Amino acid sequence: MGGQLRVYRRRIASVKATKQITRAQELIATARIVKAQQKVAASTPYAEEITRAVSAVASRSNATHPLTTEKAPAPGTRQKAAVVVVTSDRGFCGGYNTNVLKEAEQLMQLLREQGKEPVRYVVGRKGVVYNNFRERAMAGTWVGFSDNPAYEDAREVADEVIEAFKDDNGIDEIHLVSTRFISMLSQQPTTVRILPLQYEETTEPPPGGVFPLYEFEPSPEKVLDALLPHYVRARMYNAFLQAAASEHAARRRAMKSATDNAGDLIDNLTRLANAARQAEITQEISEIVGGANALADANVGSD
Amino acid sequence: MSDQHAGPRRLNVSLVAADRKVWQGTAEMIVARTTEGDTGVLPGHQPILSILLPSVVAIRGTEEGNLEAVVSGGFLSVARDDVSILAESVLLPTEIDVTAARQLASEARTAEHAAGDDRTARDQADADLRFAEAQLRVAGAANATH
Repeated sequence: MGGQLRVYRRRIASVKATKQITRAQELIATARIVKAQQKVAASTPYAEEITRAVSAVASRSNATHPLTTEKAPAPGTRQKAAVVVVTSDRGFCGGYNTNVLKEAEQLMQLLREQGKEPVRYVVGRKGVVYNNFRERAMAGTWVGFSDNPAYEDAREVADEVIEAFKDDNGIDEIHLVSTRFISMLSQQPTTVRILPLQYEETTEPPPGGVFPLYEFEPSPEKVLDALLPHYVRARMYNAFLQAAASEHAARRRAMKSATDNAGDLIDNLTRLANAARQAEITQEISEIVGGANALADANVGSD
Repeated sequence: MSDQHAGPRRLNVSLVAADRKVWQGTAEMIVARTTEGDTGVLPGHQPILSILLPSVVAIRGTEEGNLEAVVSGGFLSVARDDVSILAESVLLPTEIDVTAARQLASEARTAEHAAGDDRTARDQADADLRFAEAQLRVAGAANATH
């Protein structure tokens, strides 16, 4: 029985150590969500203005711009669609990565059914590991900034994808799969098609109502040419920031339940340890009493 | 369109960078350098959307007096007296790091020489150089007045 008690005590110590780690992770994530949310809010005016400008030009100009119209596939070839997946670099965040990767798989399935060939671009170590393990080809990978992305990071990713989009033999569509931050408690994996433009995709209705009759300088096409890379970068930056906020929120929730579970486990183990200790004492007493009785019986017999 | 309003009209200006809103307020006039040349915007200007070069944007007659900002290139949009200046990076005079700007300028010069026939690299270097020079110009003016 003494061994049993020692085992329980050792397990309690180990769970306590785990609980401290998860608790620390939870606190760190909580502190970072606020910062991440502020960054999302700070980047929103630019994203909104750019989106508004793009919609204004795209709805005004009658010219068919390569970036706004769907390319017809060359005969005998399949269209290629870039799928940019935003995952996290680190784990410990519950179903966050699983959900976004599942969403990406569904999108790629859909694209294949439409006769298009998906091309993977992966952001975040978890997504890279996931695809490497399954030996799937990736056209581009970026790691190291998932929990605190800078504009330059988004720019790097966006520029490479745009480059491939402009190339005649490159990709024909750009899809972005990431996690949208709705609230502290709710994050939603979402898919958006960034290019060619889809009008209903603009998240907010144009503020200020209908667009005025803009004069475009030098010309609508030139303005659109210049706007679109900025548009893609801004969309990606905003998506990365929302993904970062979602990652922290998911981590906070996962770590909170881990801490709670560790607390429950400690309670149960403490109870078992107490019972074991009590049993040990009871057994010791009954052994002593038994021994004394046996002695007394022996003495009675000998007298 | 502009004549039917009496009294001084003012422009509502917002200066927006990719990761923050830099400044917002009202002004009497804005002068910015677009691809078509220097453009002045007064209240009642027709709606325009044009491409900005890396340059200095002058905002005149704000509550705090005249204001200058350096933009890394971007867009100028004017609609119903609302003016938005969008750029990936916007620096107010107080935020300019002269050493960093000098370094950017010298790097851009080297890159321009190295670029040779590569159009995109040359354009990028040229834009960096203009951005750095605009910063130095504003910083120099700020230093001179102090």
